[in-house]
Amino acid sequence: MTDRLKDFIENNADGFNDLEVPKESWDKIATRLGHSKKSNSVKIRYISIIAAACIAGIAVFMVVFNNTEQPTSQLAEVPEIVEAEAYYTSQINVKREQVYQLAGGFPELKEEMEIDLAELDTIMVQLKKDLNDNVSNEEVIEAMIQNYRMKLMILEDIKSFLEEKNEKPKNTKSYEL
Amino acid sequence: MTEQIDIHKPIIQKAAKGNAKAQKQLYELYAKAMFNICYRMMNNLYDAEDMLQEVFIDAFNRLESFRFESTFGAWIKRITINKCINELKRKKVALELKEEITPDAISDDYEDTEYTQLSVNHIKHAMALLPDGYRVIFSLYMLEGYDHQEISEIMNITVSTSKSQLARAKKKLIEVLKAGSMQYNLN
Repeated sequence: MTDRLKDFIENNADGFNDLEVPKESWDKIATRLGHSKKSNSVKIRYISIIAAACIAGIAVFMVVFNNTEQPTSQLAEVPEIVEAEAYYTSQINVKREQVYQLAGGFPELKEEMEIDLAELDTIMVQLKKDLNDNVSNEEVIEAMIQNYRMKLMILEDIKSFLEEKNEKPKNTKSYEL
Repeated sequence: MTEQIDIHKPIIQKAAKGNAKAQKQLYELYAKAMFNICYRMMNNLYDAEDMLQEVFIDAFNRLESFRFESTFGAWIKRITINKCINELKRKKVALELKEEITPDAISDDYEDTEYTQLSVNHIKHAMALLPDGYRVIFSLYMLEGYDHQEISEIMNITVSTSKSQLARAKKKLIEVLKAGSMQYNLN
């Protein structure tokens, strides 16, 4: 005897599979797989490199075309940068310590973070040199502030990622296939 | 066991190595089908979405152990079914209704559908109203294509229990459909 119900379902299978997947589902999966954070990190690194290239370009341009001799100024003589440096350095140290405490199980992430921060340190050394050369100081100070902010942003981003990861227990269930 | 030919083998191999693009491609190929299975098993969209995420996370984490002994579709479908059943059990949902199995319970009810108006939406609605145990067996047999032997292994029940539960599920579903059509006629 034929099964009319089964035949009907088989002949209309598409109608039983018409629910669409919520759009944000993949983003949630990708975040849990660590894809989106990695790409963010790569993006930050890319932005840092471009920023470094731009700053170096401005510095070279100013040195070449500004032949007038100007009095040298020392870093300590620019009060706003001294104040900003103290503030951001303290914030960065606190955040870095928090990340270290959370990053025990993620050595690769820690290593990647160190690379990003080291790149920003290299840029900062160049900026301080430019500041001492007294070349386009307003732009240089702005770039230094941006450098500190970017460090904080990287640390904050990694901290949130680690907090999320550390909250979720690992799935250890197995299947019989 | 012989290796199955899978047209997506290169993507699967890349995804197994953690390639994000390949993993997204696999997701796009199979997410809709798995989401519909999750919905039928869990009976609500919120849990279905949660299960879908768990399925793909688990599948990608274990993809290196996939040996192409079945198709990827069959493999991930089995993960989906197992995940949903585990979750239903965790929620203490009664999957096996402890009713006495009598010969009439597994008799043919097929002719009962003869005068019943069948439509996809009515059947989906009726399925959602079935007790969880009936709905799961009905879905596994009628929609996912498993036979009673496979269902008995998946759900850890006997083949005869699987058969009787399916018969009862069908009977119940037809009752709901008939009640629904009476209601439509009255309205």
